[in-house]
Amino acid sequence: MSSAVLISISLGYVALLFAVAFAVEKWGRSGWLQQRSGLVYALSLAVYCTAWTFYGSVGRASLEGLDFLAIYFGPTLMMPFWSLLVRKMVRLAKDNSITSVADFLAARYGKQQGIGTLVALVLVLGIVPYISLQIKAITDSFMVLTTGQIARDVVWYSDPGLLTTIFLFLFTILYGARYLHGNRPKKGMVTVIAFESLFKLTAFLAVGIFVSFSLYRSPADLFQQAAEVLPNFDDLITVSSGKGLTDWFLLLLISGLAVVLLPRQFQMAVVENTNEQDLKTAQWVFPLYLLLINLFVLPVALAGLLLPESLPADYTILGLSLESGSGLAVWVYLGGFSAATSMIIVSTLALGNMLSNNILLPILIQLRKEKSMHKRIVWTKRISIGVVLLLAYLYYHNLALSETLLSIGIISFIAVAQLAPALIGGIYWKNATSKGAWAGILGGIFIWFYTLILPAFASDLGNSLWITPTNIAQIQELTPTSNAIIFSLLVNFGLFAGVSLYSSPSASEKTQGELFVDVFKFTNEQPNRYISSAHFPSLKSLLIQFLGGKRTEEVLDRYARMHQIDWKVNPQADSRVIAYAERLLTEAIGPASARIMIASVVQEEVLSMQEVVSMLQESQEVLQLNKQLKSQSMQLQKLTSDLQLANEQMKAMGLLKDDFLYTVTHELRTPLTSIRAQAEILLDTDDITDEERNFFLSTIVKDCERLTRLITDVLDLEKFESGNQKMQLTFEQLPELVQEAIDSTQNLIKTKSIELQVDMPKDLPKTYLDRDRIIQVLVNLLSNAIKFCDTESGKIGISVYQINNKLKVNVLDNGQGISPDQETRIFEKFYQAQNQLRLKPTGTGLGLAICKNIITHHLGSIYVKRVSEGTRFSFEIPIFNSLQHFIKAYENTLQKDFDRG
Amino acid sequence: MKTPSKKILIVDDEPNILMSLDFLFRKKGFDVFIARNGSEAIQILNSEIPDLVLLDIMMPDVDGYEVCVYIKEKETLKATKVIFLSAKSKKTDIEKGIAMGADLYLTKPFSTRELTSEVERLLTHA
Repeated sequence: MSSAVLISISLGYVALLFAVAFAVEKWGRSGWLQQRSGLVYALSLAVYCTAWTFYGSVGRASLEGLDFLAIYFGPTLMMPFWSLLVRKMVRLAKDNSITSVADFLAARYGKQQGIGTLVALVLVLGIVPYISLQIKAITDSFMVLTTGQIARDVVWYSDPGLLTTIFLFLFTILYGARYLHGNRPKKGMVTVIAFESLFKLTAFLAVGIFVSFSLYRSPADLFQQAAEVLPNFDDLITVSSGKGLTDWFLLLLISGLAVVLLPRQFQMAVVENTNEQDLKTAQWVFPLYLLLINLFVLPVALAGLLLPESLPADYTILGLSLESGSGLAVWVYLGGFSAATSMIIVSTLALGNMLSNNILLPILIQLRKEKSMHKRIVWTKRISIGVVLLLAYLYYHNLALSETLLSIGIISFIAVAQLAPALIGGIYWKNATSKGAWAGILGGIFIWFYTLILPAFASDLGNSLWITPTNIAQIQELTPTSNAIIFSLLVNFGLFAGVSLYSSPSASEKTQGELFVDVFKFTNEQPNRYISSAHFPSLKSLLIQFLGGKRTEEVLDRYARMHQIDWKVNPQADSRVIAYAERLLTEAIGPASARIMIASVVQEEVLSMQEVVSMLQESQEVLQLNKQLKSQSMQLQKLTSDLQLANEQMKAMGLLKDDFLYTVTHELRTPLTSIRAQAEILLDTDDITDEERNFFLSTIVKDCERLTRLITDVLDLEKFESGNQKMQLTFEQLPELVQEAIDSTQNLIKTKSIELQVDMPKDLPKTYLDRDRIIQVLVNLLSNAIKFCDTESGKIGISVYQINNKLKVNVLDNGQGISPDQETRIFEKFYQAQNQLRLKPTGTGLGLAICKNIITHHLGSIYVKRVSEGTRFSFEIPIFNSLQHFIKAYENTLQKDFDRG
Repeated sequence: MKTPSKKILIVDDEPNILMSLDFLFRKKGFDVFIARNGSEAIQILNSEIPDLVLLDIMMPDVDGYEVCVYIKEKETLKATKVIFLSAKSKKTDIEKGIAMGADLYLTKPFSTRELTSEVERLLTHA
């Protein structure tokens, strides 16, 4: 494959990353992704799997068999503790505006610069070679694909690794270090990292499936052939014993620690976490991811060993994918590329942040001459990122990386593990002191250097030393790796614990210890370590210096609005404001520098530990009290709103009558307006044609009819509502009345050619009812059905039947129907008139209200239901076979109403 | 030279009133547009610039108040006069209508003579 093509493909992939980040930053994650922040978070954690995983696992598997699995079993076994630790760290990072491991430890150990600087140095030392490794992987895989072998000396200007490094630098400063405040969510970058995780996984699975099922018939076939050909087959498919086994268990430990402590893991898991709930998803998705990406490592390694020509072990996977053609090979190359780039992006961001907050910014602040720093801070961050990448590139370019991918990775892991005692101890042990942390980290890193780095640079020097670096205790059973892990961690932990016990923490360390260990107890209640006050303008100018004028105004405004403070009235900033300002500064320049800057404008009195703790306890009590008060006031609120409701109901009863009158007059005015206008037109227009005249006259007549109907209905209703309605009860056969109603609407039914279905038995019992009123109800329901049934092929069904001691009538039409919320309201007065959207009602809007009144006076019920065929109005009335029964039941109902009302 | 006829938009959900007013103002030589509800009115106002709008208040969906607000906020309709024609006859209703920037508020049933003379007065003064 030509290098020009491959370079364009790589650049295309980088452009895709830019596009994804750009789109997510600009438009946010779209619906589907938004719902799955947990998944994106979990996938972004898979930045753990670098090129070292992608290429190196196969490399190591072909040399040493299953040993590589330790790197993934470690984190998997760690998961239960991981979620406990990370939950605590996330909470602490959010509460304290922390953006890196170095800041985290600096904040824990009394916000002192020294410890942050130490941690930053250790991590730069430990991780830069690891980043070089990724650049090397990019260059090597590129060379393997274009020339078939790893090139020893690549000239810098033709090095794809350098080109990639430059683009990644741009990406990281654009989407990672865009803002001053480092804990602002970087959705674009996180989504890109998650995307890359998915990409490298699919690439690896693709080549795995190709090897297992296409190159060989099945995995079983592959294993069988390997067993026949390879002399060391048994070693490859078992975890090594003896020396190797100790190594293996120690690697579990180291990688379990790395998944918490690695700067890129801290960045993704802690700094970029937006929701603690996401940890739950990550807890199973991340181990699942590790399982999947390792599924085919052994088959691929075995297949690589069976190949006739030998490639460098680390790039077996590329060689194998070439067997299927260049398509799969490019996919795999991009998979490795994505693994390398995601690691580089996140690691340089994290390291750059540490470098700037803990090394460069403190120097800059010491030297500060200018008033305005905030632009410089962003640039310092960007320059730091550039410095990290440059260091990594120089390391890669100048120190021939002779080791395989895996061993540099492990050296890196061991360096990072040196932070474990100080960090884990720091959040679970209140007595841990900064002196202890210093001693532990320095001791551990010294042993690390002595046992792993020294021998590599000066192997002959090692032998002349009093203590053999590669085997400190002269135990034959230990490999150099085990030797380094055991002694560095032992010395580290011993010094950390011992010095902590024998040194006394400063006041601020003690407070921070209390806060860090008991973070869940004190959440949201940032206690004040100082009784402090500051002149507000000087605090503000300090913020402007570091955050810029615009952002300062913004955040102070927000704070003032939230706490209802007017700065002009009260120029004195209290402890809370100062704590807030300190948090803001921490976002920009890290906790230690922020502390120094705040102290420069604040008069404060440091409180003793007892005072702080008692303040915290007090605030806990206040919190409790607050809770009780809140629940009481909520009860009161509920009572008040209940009362209000009752009051409004009573008012509404009175208003109802007024309302009704008002609506009635409005309804009367409408036809009146029309009549008057037309009459005046007839009167005033001279040149009117006969046709026009007749038209107006007939409209006037129609409007008069409408007016009459309205008046009749209003009076009708008034009679019922005032109780003046007299019922004319007679003993009737209900179906006969139904037939009468049908007869009176027959004409309309015919002219609209509606299909009418009637279903009523002849032998229903007779009952006492008001004949005319029931017919009125039936006609009303029928006319409604005629009006609203389907205009093309209208259908109306009427059925009458007996249920228990009641007669029921259904009138069903196949019209558009009504919505559920209308089902009860439709019987209200003028409901139709006020709510009909498309057609102006031709009726008065009172018909159904009258029907309801009539049926209620028959002690029955009327209701409407939307059914699949259309709309069904039904009413049911009890059967009374004697007048006395009716009257007695009627009076009982009235009595009940009376009691109730 | 003949002056172009004045444009008038009538908005009412009552078909008979709409029809009568349409007839009335056509006879008087106006260029008449009609709308049966608020949203139709707004549609017309998007393309036409009437000199005057006769506006009912109580209408389904978009009511007369909203149409009035629309007219008052639109730059191109700055010169357009508004007359509310409403059955809402309370004093507060009338005050509200005038406060919204209407030039006149007539309660239904109104006299067509009064209406036409007011329309002509408003349009000649303009």
